[in-house]
Amino acid sequence: MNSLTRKSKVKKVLLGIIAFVVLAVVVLQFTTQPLTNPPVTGTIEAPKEVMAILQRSCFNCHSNETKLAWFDKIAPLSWRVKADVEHARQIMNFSEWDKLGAGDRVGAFWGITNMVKFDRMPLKGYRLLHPDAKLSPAEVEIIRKYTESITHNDRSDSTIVHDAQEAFAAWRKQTDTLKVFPKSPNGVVYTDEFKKWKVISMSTLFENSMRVIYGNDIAVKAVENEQFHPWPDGAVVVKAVWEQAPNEYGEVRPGKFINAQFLVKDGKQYTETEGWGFAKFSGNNLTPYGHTANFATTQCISCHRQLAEETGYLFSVPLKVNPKQ
Amino acid sequence: MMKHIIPAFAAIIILASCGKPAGNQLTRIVYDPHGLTLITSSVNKHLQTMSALYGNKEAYAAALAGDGHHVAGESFAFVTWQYHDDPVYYGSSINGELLSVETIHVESDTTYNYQLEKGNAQPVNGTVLNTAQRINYIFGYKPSVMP
Ligand code: HEC
Repeated sequence: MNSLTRKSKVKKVLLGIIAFVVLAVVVLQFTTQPLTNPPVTGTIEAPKEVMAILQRSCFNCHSNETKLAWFDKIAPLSWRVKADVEHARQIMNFSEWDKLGAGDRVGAFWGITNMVKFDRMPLKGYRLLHPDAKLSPAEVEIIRKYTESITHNDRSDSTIVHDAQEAFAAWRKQTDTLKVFPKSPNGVVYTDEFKKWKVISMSTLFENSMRVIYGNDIAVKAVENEQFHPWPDGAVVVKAVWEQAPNEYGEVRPGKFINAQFLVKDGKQYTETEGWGFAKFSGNNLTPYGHTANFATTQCISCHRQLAEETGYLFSVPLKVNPKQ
Repeated sequence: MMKHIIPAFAAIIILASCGKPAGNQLTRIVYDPHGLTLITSSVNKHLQTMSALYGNKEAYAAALAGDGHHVAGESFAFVTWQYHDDPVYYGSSINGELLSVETIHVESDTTYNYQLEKGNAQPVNGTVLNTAQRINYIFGYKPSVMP
């Protein structure tokens, strides 16, 4: 065989491969449903400079006014974009802001502030092709300041203190204990065993609440050994949350009980939420949160996944300190 | 020759500075209350401290009654930490270094044994309390409401 015929054979094969790839990509374009924009029910209202940031950097995923670039619509990239947008809309949708109560809107902005402050949003992959979506430090400050400005406790100190005293008096008199413990839709059952567990940390969340985080023995060991990737099955962490009731010493003490938040590690059962079963039991009746078994996939895990990856998706893990101090 | 020595030195210096002496290794510590359980907690935003009041069953009962009566066998521990901004969640704070541990053992209805196990008791409203005042202050805590 001479080298000339060999070269032309290689050329033919190469051309064949290229033609095949082009054809495959063309065919791919017909396999996916294009992303559609559902109706806008109530767009978020915020100051102009805040809106400008959200519209430029977030609306493509977190709204029903998605305006994708031509390259976002080409499969296989379009699959990823579509999945991200649909997931993002489910989690937080600026076009359906009317569906959130006043408190939830403020809560959402604390999430937003954290996502941009720690540079988690817009998603890194998206920024590769949309570099102008990244927020400047000045823009992060605009978001942070706006969030602070809409955060105020609509309950006065005197109401909080009064309610704390009433709640304590009623609770102390209470003799009947719960016979049947409530169960979260995802199967996590409340237990009052945690009251005997060790306290792994304590925290406050802005001016709103103070918390004590308890851990069972498995969780305590995991913290001490930094066994976070993954946490061992059977670890349970319970965060008890109260209002901040000010006192005459210039302190705040736990006021009215707000809720107890459970995180139960079971890598086989809770596969969509990084192995953690989320549950929240609120008020004196410990009413479980959520309507469906998978409520945590759209309402809890994103924040944990984006911000607390280092400690195995758990917040309020004890800080690293010098043990000799 | 020099070409190899300089990077070698640099490597040694870098390696050496990475291996911190074991004694100063930062660790995550869960406070061991030696069998006591949490009664309640408090936050002092001026001092940036958080405290936890632990007790045994008898201590818990006395705190719940809150009538100033104490019986032999009550055991309390009042533990205080410095708190910091949460490094992973802006808007939240979390306890950090352990500042002090104070204990009270009730020997009889009128004899209370107060011990400062670690650190110094934090001032209250800017004043450092004497032992009797400190005992009163700690005995003033009510249990947290928990359904
Ligand atoms: C490329 C699409 C995309 C863009 C653009 C985007 N996000 Fe997201 N966002 C997502 C996805 C996907 C998730 C879910 C992440 C997960 O589950 O880990 C998410 C999650 C979030 C969450 C978590 C919600 C919660 O509390 O559970 C917040 C807050 C958020 N995004 C804010 C923003 C903000 C603010 C911007 C603009 C600065 C933005 N996002 C831009 C796709 C996007």
